[in-house]
Amino acid sequence: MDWDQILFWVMIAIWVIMPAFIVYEEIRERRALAASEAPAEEIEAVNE
Amino acid sequence: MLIPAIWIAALTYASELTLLSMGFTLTYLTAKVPNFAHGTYAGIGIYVSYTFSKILGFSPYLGFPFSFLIGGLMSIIIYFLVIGVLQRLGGGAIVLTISTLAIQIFLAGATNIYAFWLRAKYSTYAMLFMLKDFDFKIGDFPGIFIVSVGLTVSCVILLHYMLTRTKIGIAMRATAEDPELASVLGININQVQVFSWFLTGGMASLAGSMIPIWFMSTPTTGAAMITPIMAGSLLGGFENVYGAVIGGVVVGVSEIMLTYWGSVILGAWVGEYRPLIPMIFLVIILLIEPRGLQGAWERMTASDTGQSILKSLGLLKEEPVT
Amino acid sequence: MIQEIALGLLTSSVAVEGTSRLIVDIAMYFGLFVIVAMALNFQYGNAGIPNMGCAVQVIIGGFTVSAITTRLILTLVGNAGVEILPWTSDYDWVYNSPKNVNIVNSWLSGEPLFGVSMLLFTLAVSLILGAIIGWIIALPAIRLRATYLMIVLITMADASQIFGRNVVWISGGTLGIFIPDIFKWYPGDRTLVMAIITLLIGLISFFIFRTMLNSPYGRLMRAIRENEVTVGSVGKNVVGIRRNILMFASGITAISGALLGFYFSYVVEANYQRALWTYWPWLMLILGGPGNNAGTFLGCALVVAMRRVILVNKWFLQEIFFFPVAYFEQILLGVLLISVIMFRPNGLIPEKLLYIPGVNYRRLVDEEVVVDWRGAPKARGASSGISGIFRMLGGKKEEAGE
Repeated sequence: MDWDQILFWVMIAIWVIMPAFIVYEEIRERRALAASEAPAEEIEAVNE
Repeated sequence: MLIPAIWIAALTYASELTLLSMGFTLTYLTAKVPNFAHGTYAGIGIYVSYTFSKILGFSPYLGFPFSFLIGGLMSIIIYFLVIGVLQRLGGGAIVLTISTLAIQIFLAGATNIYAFWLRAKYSTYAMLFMLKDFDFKIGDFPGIFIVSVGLTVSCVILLHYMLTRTKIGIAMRATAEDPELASVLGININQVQVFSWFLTGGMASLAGSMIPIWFMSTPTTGAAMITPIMAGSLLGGFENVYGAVIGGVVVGVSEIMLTYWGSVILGAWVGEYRPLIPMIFLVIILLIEPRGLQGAWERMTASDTGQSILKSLGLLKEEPVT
Repeated sequence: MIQEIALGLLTSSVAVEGTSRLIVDIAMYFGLFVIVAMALNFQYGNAGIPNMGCAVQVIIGGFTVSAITTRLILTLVGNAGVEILPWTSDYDWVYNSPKNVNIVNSWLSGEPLFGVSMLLFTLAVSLILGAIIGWIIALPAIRLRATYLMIVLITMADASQIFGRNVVWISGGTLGIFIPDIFKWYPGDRTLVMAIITLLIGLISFFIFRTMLNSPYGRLMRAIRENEVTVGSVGKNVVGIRRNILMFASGITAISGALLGFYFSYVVEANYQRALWTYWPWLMLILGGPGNNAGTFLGCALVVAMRRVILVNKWFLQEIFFFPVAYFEQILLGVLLISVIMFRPNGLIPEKLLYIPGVNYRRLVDEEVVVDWRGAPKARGASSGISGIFRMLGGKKEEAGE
C-alpha cells in the first residue's frame, strides 16, 4: 500500500476544500445581500 | 583635556543620532508620518562615503555635500512617487506608515544590491567596512569626533535660525501646525513639503555618511538605526525639533555607555544586547508618556505637586488654577 | 499567468517525482502562511489592530519546539533507556544536538504514538505560550493606537530576535537546535505528513475564525474597529475584548511557528526573521483584501506561488540580475506593497458588508457604504494638526479627559 500516493491526494483534497468552501460561502452571502436589498428598492421606487 | 576613548565614541554616535532624530521629528511634524525609511536614508549616506573613499580615492569628508544632495534628491523622488501620491489619494496614518515601511524594504534591498555590485565590479568588500583610516587628527582627537559634534551643533543652530527667521522655515512650522489654515494664508503646501523632505533626506544622508568613519558598517546598518532614531525622537517628544536634540543625545550616549559599563561589570556578552537599549527606551517611553520628555514636563508642572514646587521656587505665573 | 506558473513548476530540472515534491513544498509553505495571514486578518482586518510584530508570535512557536519539546523528548527517551549524549549544559545542548537527534530518531522510528502525542503536546503548549505573548502585546495595545502601536510591536519583534540569537538555551543562539523527527515512523515522505497536518490545521483555524466572525462577537469586533468610543459607551469592555482577540490570534500564529520548526527539523533564530514573517503576511493580507478570509486566501496563494516561481527560476533570474535572488525579493516586496496600497487599497477582494440574516440594510443606511480601511485613523475623529494627532494617538487616557 503506497501511503505516499494516498496521502498526496488527501493533501490535495484538503488543499482544495478551503477555497471551494470560501467561494461557495462568498457567493451565497453576496447573493443574499443583493436579495435583501431588492425588495427595498421596490419600496423606494414606490415612495419616490 | 583628555577624554576617554569610549566617550569619544559615545559623543560621535550621539551627534550622528541627534542629526537623524532631528530629521525624523521634522518629517513627522510636516508630513504627519513616522518615516520608517529614515534610517535607510542614512544607509545611502554610508555608501556615498564608501564610494568616495574606497572607490574614488578621495577623503570621505569631500563626499559630505554630495551625500546631502543625493539623500535630499532621493527623498524628493520618493515623495513624488509614493508619499505625495498617497497623501493626495487620502491615505490615513496607517497606510502612510506602511508605505514608509515598504520604502524601507525597497531601499534596503537597493543598498544591498549596490554593495553587491561594488563588490562584483571593484572587488572591494563592501559588505562590512570601516573608514577610520581616511580620518585625520586634530590635536589628540580623531577628526570625526570634532566634525560630527561640530556639524550637529551647527545644524541645530542653522535649523533654529531657519525655522524662526526665514520665510520658508516659518512656512514649514505653519504647515506643521495647521495645513489648511496655512494654505488659506497663501503658503504653498506642496512646496513646503518638498522642501522639508529634501532637508530631512539630506540631513539623514549627511549623518549616515559620518557613521562609517568611526563605526563598522554593513548594508543594513542604516536600516537598523531606525530604532534608536525613533527612541531619540520619542524621548524628546514630537512637539518640536529641539526635543529630538535632547532625545538623540540621551539615547545615543546611553546606548554606548550602558553597553560599555555593562560589559565591564557583567561581562563581554552584554555587547550583543546593545540594540536592546534603545528598544527599552522606546517601549518605556510609549507606555509611560507617549509625548516624551516635553509631555512629562508639562504633566508634572500641571500637577499639584509640580505647581507647589514651582510656587516655592517663585517661578509660578499669576494664573488662577481652576 | 497560469501557464507561466506551470512552466515554472515544470522547468525545475528534477524528475517527475521532484515536481510532486515541489507541490508538497508549496502546500506546506502555503499552509503555514495561510495560518499566519488569517490570524493577521483577524487582528487587523476585523479588529483594527495593526500587528506589525507578528514575527514574535511565530517565533514563540519555534521556541516552544526547540526549548520545550526537544528537552521533553530527550528526557523521556533518556528515561526509556536509550543512550543519549549529555545535553543539560548550554554547550552540550547545542554541540550534541545533531548527534542526539540521530540517536533519538532511530528510536522514534518505532513509536508512532509517541510522535503524535509529542506533536499534540507541542501544539497545545505553543497555543498557550502564544496566548501569553498575545497578552503581553495587548498591554501596549490598550493605550496606543495606529502608528505608535506599530512602532512598539515592530520593536518587540526585533527584541525577540535578539533574545533568540543570544540566549542559548532557547534555540541554540546562532547555531540552532536540531529537532527530533516525530514522524520518523512513517515509511514514506515525512514532508507529506507535515503538509497534511499543516493544511488540516489551516482548515480548522479557518473554520474557527469564520465562526467567530459570523457571530455576534465578530460584529462586536468590527464595531470596535470602526468606533470604539461608542462601543465602550454601550458598556462593552473594549480593552478586554482586544486582549482576547490578540491572545487568541497569537496562539494560533504560534502553532504555525511550531510547525515550521518541525518541518525543517531545525530551529534557529534566522529562520524567523521579521521580513519573512511580518512583511510577507502583511503583503498577503493587503493584496487579497483585509477584512475577509477569501481575500487573505487569495493573497496568500498568489504570494506563495510567486515566491516559489522565483525560487525555482533562481538560476535563470540570477543571470539577468547579477545579484542574489533574495535582494530581488526584497525589492519586489517593497514595490508590491506600495503598488497595492496605491492602486487597489481594498485589495483584490474588497470587504463587503457583514451579511446578517434578516437585516435590511437599505432601511438602516441611506448612503453608499464603502468599507475603506485606508482612512482608518481619520475615521476616529482626528483633526489636523499636532494636537489632533496627540489626541488620537494618546489613546484613551486623553479621551477620558485626565
